[in-house]
Amino acid sequence: MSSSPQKVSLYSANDLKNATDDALTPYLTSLPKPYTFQQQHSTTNVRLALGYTAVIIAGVLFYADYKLGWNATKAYTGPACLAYFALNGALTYWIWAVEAGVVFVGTREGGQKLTLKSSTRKYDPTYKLKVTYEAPSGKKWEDKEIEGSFTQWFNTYGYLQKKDLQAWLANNIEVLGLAENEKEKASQGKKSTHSATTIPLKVDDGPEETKTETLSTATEPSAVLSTTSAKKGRSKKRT
Amino acid sequence: MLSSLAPYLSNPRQTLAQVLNFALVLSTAFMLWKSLSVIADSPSPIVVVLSGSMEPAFQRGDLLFLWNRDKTAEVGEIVVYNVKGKDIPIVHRVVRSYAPLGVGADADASASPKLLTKGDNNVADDTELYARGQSYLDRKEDIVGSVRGYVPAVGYVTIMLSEHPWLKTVMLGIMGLMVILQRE
Repeated sequence: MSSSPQKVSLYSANDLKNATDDALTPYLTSLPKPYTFQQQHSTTNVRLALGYTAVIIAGVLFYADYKLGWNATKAYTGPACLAYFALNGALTYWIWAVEAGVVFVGTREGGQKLTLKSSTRKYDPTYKLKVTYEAPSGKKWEDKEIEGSFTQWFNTYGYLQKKDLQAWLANNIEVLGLAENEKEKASQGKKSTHSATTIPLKVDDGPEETKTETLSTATEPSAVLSTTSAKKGRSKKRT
Repeated sequence: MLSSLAPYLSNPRQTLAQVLNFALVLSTAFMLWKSLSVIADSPSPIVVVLSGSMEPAFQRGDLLFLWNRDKTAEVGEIVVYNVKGKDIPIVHRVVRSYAPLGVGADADASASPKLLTKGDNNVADDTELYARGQSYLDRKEDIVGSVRGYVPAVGYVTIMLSEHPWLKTVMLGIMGLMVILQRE
C-alpha cells in the first residue's frame, strides 16, 4: 500500500506473514509485459457484497427502530435478523472455505491463472505458500505447496527485502522464474528488447512446458521444500 | 489531510474490508439484541433495576431478563412496565389482576387483563406512578415483560455512568490513553 517500507516485529509470525502477503500483489502486477498478472477481485467482491448487505440490513433496521419504534418494526425485525445471520453465516463460510487464505488471484495475458494461498503455523516462522498455476483450459501446470523461512527475506531490523522475496518466488514458481529472466534481459541492454517479443505467448502447454523444465533444473533444490499435496489446504484456520 | 488518505484510496478493497470488520462487530451486537427482542417478544428484553423499590428482591443495578409471550399476569408476578409519556421502565410486583369479562369460550380474545402493581419496598401501590387518570395497567399495552431471570449487580456500571456523567469523560479519556499507549 504505502511506498515507505514498514518495520515489522521479527518475533510475530503473523505480522511477518501479513507483510509478506502485502508484498506479493505489487510484485506480481508489475512484472515485465507478457508476464504481468492482472489481479482478479471476484472472491473479494463477493465477500464485500455479503458483508455490506448484512451491515445495510442492520443499519436500516436500526434507523427504522429509532424512527418508528418497536410496535411498527416488530413484524420486520424477525425476518431481518434471520437474513442478517444467514448472510453472516454465508460470509463466514466464504472466508473459511472458499477464500481459505487466498492472497492473490491473477491472470496473465493469454488467460493463465495464478492463485496463491498463504499460511503460517502459530509460533513457527515458516511461510507456506500454496501455488496453483493453470491454463485457461483449467489444466494445472503447477499445483504445489512451497515453504520458506521468513529469515530469507526479512533483514535483522525487520524490513522486508523485496529482492530476496522475489528471488525466492522466482526460484520456486516457474512462471515467475521466466519473468525474472525476462527482467534481467531487459536490464542488460536495449538489444534484448526484441528478443522479448520472440518468446511465444502460448495458450497451450507445449513449448512453455519444455522451457520451464530447463529452468527448474537450474533452481537449487536445497532451498525448496515443495510438496504436491493439495490436502493441506484446510489447515489454515489457525493463522 | 488528503495525503494521509492516499494509502487508503490506493487499495479501496482493503480499506473497505477493514471498515467492514468494524461495522460487523457493531451490527452483530445490535442484531443479537434485536433477535433477543423477537424471541422474548419484548422491545427491551434485558433491563437494569434503577431504584430500590423492589428491595429485598432486587437491588439497584441488578440485570433482569424479561419474557413477554404470556397473555396474562398472575398476582405475585414481577413485571416491567412503561407508563405512556414516561420513558423510564419500572419493575414492580402485580398485586391485583382482573381477568377480562367472560369465562372459557365466552372470553374476549382481544381483551387483556388489567393489573395493579406495587413495589415491595413501597408503602402504597403504584396508582400515583401511572399516567394521569390511569388507575390500572393493561397487560398487552403497558407491560414490557415479566421477569424470568436476573444477574445481581452487573448493571451497576450503567447506573454509575448515567448518574455521574463525568465518569463517561473519564472512561473515554482512559480508553483514548490506552489507544495512544498501545502504539509501539
